[in-house]
Amino acid sequence: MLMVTQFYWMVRKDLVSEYRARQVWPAMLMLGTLVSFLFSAQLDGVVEGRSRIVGMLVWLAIYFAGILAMHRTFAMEQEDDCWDALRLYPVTASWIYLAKFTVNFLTLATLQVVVLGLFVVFSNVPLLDHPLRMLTVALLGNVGLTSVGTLLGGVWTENRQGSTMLAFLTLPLAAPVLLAASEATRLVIDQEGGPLWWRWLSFLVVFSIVFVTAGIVLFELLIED
Amino acid sequence: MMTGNDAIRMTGLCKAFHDIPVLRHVHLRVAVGESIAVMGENGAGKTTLLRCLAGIVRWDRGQLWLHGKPVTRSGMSSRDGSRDGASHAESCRDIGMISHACQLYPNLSLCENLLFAARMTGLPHPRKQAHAWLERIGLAGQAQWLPRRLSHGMRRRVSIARGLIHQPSILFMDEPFSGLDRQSRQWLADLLARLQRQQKSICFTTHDPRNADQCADRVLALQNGVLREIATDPNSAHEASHPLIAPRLIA
Amino acid sequence: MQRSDLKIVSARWLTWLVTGLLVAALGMAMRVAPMEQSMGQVQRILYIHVSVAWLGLMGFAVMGVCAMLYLLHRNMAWNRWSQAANEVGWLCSSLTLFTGSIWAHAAWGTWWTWDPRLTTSLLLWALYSSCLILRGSIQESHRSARITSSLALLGLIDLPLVIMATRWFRGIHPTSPEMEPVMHFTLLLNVIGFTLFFSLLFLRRLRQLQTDNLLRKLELEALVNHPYPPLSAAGG
Repeated sequence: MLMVTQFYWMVRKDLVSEYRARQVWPAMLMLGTLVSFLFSAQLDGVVEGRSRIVGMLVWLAIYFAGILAMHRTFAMEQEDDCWDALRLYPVTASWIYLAKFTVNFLTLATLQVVVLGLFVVFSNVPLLDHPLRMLTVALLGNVGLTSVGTLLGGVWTENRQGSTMLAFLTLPLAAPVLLAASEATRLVIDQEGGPLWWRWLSFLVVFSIVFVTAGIVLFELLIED
Repeated sequence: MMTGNDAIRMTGLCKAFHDIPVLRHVHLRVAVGESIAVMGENGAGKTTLLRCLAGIVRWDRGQLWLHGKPVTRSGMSSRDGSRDGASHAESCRDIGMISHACQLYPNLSLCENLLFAARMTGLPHPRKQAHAWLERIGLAGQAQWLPRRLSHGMRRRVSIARGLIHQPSILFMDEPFSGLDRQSRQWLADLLARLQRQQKSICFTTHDPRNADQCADRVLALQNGVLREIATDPNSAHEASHPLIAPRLIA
Repeated sequence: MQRSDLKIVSARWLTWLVTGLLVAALGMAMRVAPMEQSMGQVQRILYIHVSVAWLGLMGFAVMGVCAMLYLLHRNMAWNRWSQAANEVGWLCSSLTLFTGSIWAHAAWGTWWTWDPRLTTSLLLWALYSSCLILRGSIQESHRSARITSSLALLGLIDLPLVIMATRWFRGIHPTSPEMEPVMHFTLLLNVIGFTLFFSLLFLRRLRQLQTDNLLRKLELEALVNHPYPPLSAAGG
């Protein structure tokens, strides 16, 4: 029971901090907006293969803006040496990981709403004609990206080189998720179903399960002692 | 093994950074209700020693008991995979660690910072506890302030309250006196004396022999990775032939 | 393994032996093995390609496992193993892409195609490269080791997923084509030759890293014993 309340207070603390300081969300959402806007503007003349390109661009926008937030959740702990204090509370590293994962998940979900909405408005593709399917892809892609991003965010807590380095660390590991989510998004736009759709979906499921588990099990091992 | 009466018992602790040994076979016993001061030059490994004792840093070799119970949080335990979450949680409740930094979240008010600590340690009535501590450190009127509005000395008080809120029986403090004015030093010294009367064991690092003498039963010096006792009786004027102390006294 | 145990890898006779074997294997591949009918001479690059591809995968496994051992024990010795595997593995992985590309140009008429196997190889190379760049870009050695090892270990988890995913998609990359016995033997000889050669390279690099570490340790110890220069010497 204590673990659940600890989890709740850790998540709440991060959200309250962000709500007060507004250090990441505005920057992240603005970056997402601008990138969506620029991508969509360049898409204007494209007729053929539009769905394919939109699929990738949506996820690139989400990834690069989202990494900002993933970096911030751990970097804020380093500021006044709070990380040491957090590690000394009677809470296991796995729960710290889960709390940070939840915060990042919520942040990324907000970003996704904005980016997807903007792409619908700007680029005129039927992203939301199948809201349930799009929601599934968005959720699974979110969990996949967040699990990897949170894990490496705990590894790379450095503030100096900022989130650039985290983006660099995460990209090779998250590349399969980005590819799978882009492809699944394309299928949603093209309203295709069938085995291909299920394959990409099951890949996203497997990836999410593996990396969330890896985070829970390995987090203790990977973080600085 | 007779470890029951010792709050801290450490044998043969070794820790190396970059393959350079920082702590070489450090032995330490701290009785219940005893207060010790660790002195040493910059980079002598004082902070590392405290962090090892608190279980934040994995050590390479050696054993540690807190209140007679072996501490499992180390590189040793993860090696054979026997880390026990429950015992770790238990030893965390016994330990209070106040680091050199204040460890306060900049966007949470003083009260919320203390509340967070209280809730994370699973205290009953966290709100009451937090307010009681704010009273005790004389900042009850500033409960809703953000830490950045306070002076360093006040922040230090809050950080001490944060580390003490769960009533740990063993207290580690890294340079608690540094950067404090005379009044705050006196307040801290009084607090330490009162904690000692409550049978808490205290272990702190300092550069100032006067603080060490005032607040510690024993003063230890960490030099070349070895811990030595340099003054056992705080009342005797330490003629202190020890090189760490002597030049500072003359100065 | 200690530094002194690895003394043998600097032995000149071993270097000559292994290099000789590699040259012999390559000679087999270039001259003795029969020419393939449809592709001609270019096909011979396959002997190198298969050997380094296998070593690239092996190197990654070694790097990942050593990275995990480092994280468990926090012993820099394992990081040196991991680093040596990283560097040699990166070389093999790059060679795989390079030779594969040449082969693909002859066989498929294109330097690159998005075949599942090729995608996996490229990702492997990207992971290798990231680890390699990380090692160089972080000054503090323990931090560098921890972060690089984390990435290597997670990469080791990532890679099977990618391989599994690509199984679902039919590729054009040949898996086990029919070969004459002589070709089989040549391939085997090449795999052994390359494995020995790169293993030697790996061990020599490991020993070099160990020596480097020893040197730095001695320097640091000297520094610890003489922390401050005397004031008069400083010119004050």
